[in-house]
Amino acid sequence: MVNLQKGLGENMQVKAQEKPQAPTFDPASMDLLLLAATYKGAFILYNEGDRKQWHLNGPYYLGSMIHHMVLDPRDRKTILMAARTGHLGPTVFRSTDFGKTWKEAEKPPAFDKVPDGETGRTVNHTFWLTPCGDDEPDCWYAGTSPQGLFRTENGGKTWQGVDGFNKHPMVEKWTGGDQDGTPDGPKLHSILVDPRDKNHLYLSMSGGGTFESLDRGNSWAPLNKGVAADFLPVENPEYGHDPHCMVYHPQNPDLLYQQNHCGIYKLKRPADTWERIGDNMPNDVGDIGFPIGVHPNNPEKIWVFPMDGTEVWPRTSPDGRPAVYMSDNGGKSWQRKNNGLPKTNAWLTVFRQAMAVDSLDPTGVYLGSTSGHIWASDDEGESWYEIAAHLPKIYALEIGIINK
Amino acid sequence: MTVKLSSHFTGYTDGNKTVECGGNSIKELLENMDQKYPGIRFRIVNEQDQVRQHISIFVNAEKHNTLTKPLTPVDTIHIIGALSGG
Repeated sequence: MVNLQKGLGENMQVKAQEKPQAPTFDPASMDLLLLAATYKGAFILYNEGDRKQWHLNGPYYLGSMIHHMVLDPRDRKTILMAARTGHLGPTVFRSTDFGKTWKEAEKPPAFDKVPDGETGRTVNHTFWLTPCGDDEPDCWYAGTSPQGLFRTENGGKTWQGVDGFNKHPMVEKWTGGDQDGTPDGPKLHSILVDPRDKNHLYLSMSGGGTFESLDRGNSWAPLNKGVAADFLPVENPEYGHDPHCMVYHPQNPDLLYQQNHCGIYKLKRPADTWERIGDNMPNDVGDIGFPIGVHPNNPEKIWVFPMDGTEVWPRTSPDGRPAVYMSDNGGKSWQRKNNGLPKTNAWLTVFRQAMAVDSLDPTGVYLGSTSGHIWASDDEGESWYEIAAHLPKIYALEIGIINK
Repeated sequence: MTVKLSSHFTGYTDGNKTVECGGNSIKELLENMDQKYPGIRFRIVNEQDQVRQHISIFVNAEKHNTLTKPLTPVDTIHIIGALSGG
């Protein structure tokens, strides 16, 4: 097994990614990290460029629930990790040596204290981490459960609430209550920062729906037209939807996709009405799932991982037969891709943060399952192979490119 | 006074499960402990100054999960993480 620390770290050349081009991967000078956040700790899989031989490092913070772990694409060195232990509550850790050492945030995401006698909100866990663009090098956003939006401007050492969201007069109505959230609590996720304009933000909530800000979070407006909310008694509600995962195309941030509790959708801004592209999925599979991924160069190529959303919502692979569905025409048609995945009796699913897409050619796609398996594809989803097994339940996967 | 901690907190106390600290109330004690061991207070109480759901504070073996509980220098405090299940 390769020591993750070997040959890495101190003398790395930091190269800023050029946007909107996807970074060109050179295996002679770059390596890959696959960051796995699990129910019982964090793991880092290290690969020297062939995407076949992955070396498992960790666990880090064994016993803590790690909801998200992200390599900063701006310096290719800093990793932030959202952690919670059952006893000690939520926090964020930061490493600048690929997990060898971690420092806890001096002020993790937390809501403001309310006056004595009033009921204030408390962060149960930080669920989502998003690094900002190159023009804000130390800035990240965090989304929490219950739904809150936080920002750091010093690389994760201290976090402040984004009052324009957390104290918005409508926030209680937008976010609903615990009953509107996931079995693991209501969550704010899919925080997207427009790489062309740091003031332009999107976020999604389960429950609550998708929202947009044009002024760096000071004000927000719902962006849910066309999205079904079958679980609500009103038709075409303005908010209260349940987007599970939302992405934009990195080279065309005006193209958004979302996997929702009620289907798969596409939106081309400046239009504001989502198109349900999941209607084109096979009827016996449906278009319910958690994650969605988009190809780094081809904006029409997307991957989803359907789950069983019938009757009591088992949230397992339909019929126990896991498969990725891929579209290469923006959702007009879908192809089943399960070569290399278990054929039968695999009652697992892939959570909303547990599908990762790299930027190599051909593009790699990675799945982390509730059964603790990680499967990789180095041919854009055509075939899959197992790169890790018997890990704890996987909450999130993120891919990172580092310099050798 | 003597503060005895369960293993959950040793990452903050240089590995020590017993520490000495002072304060006229649990609130003051936690503030003073946070000075010596930065970050430990927020692991015991949340942002609304409530003792976290699965933390128990005992004063001389009697449970007191309220920060206003007065303390004296001869008291022995236990701060324990208690959570069952998987």
